Amino acid sequence: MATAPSTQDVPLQDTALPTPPKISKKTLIQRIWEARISYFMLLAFFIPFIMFIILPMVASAYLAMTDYSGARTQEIEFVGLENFRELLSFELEQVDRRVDAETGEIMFRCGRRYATETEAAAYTADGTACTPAYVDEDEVLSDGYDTVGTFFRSDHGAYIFGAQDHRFWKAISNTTIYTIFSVAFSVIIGLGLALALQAQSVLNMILRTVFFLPSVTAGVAITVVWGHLFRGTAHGLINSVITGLGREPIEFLANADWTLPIVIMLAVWGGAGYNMILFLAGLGNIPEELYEAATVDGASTTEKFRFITLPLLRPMTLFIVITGIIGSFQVFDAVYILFANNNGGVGHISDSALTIVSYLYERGFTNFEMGYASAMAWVLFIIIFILTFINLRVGRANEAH
Amino acid sequence: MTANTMTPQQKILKHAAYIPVIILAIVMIIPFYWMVLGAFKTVSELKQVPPTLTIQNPVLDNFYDPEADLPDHTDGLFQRYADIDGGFMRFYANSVIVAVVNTVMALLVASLAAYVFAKHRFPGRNALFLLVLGSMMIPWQVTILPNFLIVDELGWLNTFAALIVPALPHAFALFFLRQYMLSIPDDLIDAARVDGAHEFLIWWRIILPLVIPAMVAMGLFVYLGNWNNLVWPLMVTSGEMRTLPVIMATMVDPYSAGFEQGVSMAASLIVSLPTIIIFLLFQKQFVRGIALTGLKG
Repeated sequence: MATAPSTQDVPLQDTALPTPPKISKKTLIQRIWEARISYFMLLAFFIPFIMFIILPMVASAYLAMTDYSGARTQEIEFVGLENFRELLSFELEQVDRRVDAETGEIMFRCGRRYATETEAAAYTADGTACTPAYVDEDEVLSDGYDTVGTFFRSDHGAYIFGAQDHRFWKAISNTTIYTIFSVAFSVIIGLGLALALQAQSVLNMILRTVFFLPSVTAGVAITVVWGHLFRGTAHGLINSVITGLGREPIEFLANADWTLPIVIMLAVWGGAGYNMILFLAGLGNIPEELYEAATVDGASTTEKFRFITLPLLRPMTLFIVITGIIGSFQVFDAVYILFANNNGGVGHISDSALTIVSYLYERGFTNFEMGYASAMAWVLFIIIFILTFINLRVGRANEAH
Repeated sequence: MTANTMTPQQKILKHAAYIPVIILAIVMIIPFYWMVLGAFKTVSELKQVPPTLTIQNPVLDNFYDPEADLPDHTDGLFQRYADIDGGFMRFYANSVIVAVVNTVMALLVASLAAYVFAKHRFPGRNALFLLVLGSMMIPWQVTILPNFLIVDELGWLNTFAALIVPALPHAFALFFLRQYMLSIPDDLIDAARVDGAHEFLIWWRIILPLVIPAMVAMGLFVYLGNWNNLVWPLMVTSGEMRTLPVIMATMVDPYSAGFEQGVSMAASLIVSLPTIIIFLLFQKQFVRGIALTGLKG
């Protein structure tokens, strides 16, 4: 620990000069012994802390490098970084668009057949989904790699993104989309509500309570209610509104395209009010004098918002965005409640509901691949860590300007 | 700008701005409204297409249906889970016990350590505190798998210990309470020490009463986290040790007809009722707690 510099200045002499007692004169052992009561008082926290946080952390780092299944009798094999390699290895291959050998027309793939554009339109009308066809698209990836998606599609070709664990990448993609939209919407709506309900009035107090209520009660129980609101084609409230408007009902919970929008909507419903409270706290910290001074200087409401409110809310916004991203990347409850099936599968239709944590849960606890799931948990931690770091950097850089 | 300096146009504009806000507010409470409605509708009303937007004939059948065998009737919530002693109320009791015991113990343990970190000086203090802070960055997914193995090794699977003990060390509660305790003047503690008060007594008699607002705010969040915790109880419990979130998670079946809807709405209602009541009672503390924790970031 920090030693007080003054002890060095005291000349060494054996005289009986009364030197004031200095903590640093004592040895470390002595100081630890004197503080024994402090350590004793910490035990109640640190015993469970070491047992259920530190030890599991170390164990998790080890398990991530094994093939452990969770069975007591298993001989655990150390596999090094193999789990991480399998999780993260991907390939990005460029492929050319398949063209008809004679006419040079670009081709589509409909089911197992190749078709020209006009034929593809006919297939689509019959209900067969058609996708652009590429040369050797099935062979271009190495053995054991599956297509996650194609990017930069054009009439000439595309890039095929393939991975060994294509479901993990699907989970990352779903989680990222979920995070971007749920954080963006709940921050914007939260800020809007805070600005709208800033003034102290009875109506505003009631409205604040209404908006805040979901963030406190948005647990499993209310997610179940949302399930009923979206359910089926006939009994659900939302579909009865849709049919009432003369539209076709939508099978929200059985249509892959709606999976993420529904989960995002639930997150915004449960998160906007919480952000509103934080923004209200932030607004309350902005000195009234700044606005008064700006008014004297003839600033408009928009100008005051742009040059006073927004900059001074930046630390709060940064806090909300960072905690929002951290929380969103760990999304599990809503997707599990709404979309998990009875066999322990959590992906829903074509893995549209697969998030990082639900995939981790499925591999670890349904398939008993604890080693692999532990590796996934560490990848999640690293993702969150990097995102937080970038956010803080961006936030600081903005503040400097 | 204050209300009396506004032109009439500005006033109208200001009131008009409330229209989208109020529409949004209505959307926010629709799930609650639908829950209350569904909980008291009869099965035949629940089966109506389109669904009724108000309630024609409120009944308690979804909780307990004396005529459960008749057509268009089904076992009420409290008639279900007959193989478990106490039925649904057993899960309710589990959740209450876990939430209350864990919240109280976690706060006591965290506040004791927070006091030591805030007011004691000892070798290794900063290192230990950094360890606690650092652990907040680790997502629970990292520790949950080994924790399952540890709890299994201890023979705790399917016990209250498995639900309560691993969640005792609450790093954020410690951090939050420590920040709050830093503002307590040292003189107060020194005076007690001169009077010969033991450190535990100082914590119990002097520190705790002073940090009650922070404890209430933190306690609400710890309680909420417990009450809604799904993943951990899903892993370590089965049968009669299940908690409410786990039971609720089995109640959504998007493909079943309106039959089960009433019962699951009834369950949602009594599961979320304590939270709604606590929220309405402690709204100020919630808001202050959020504002405080938010500002610390």
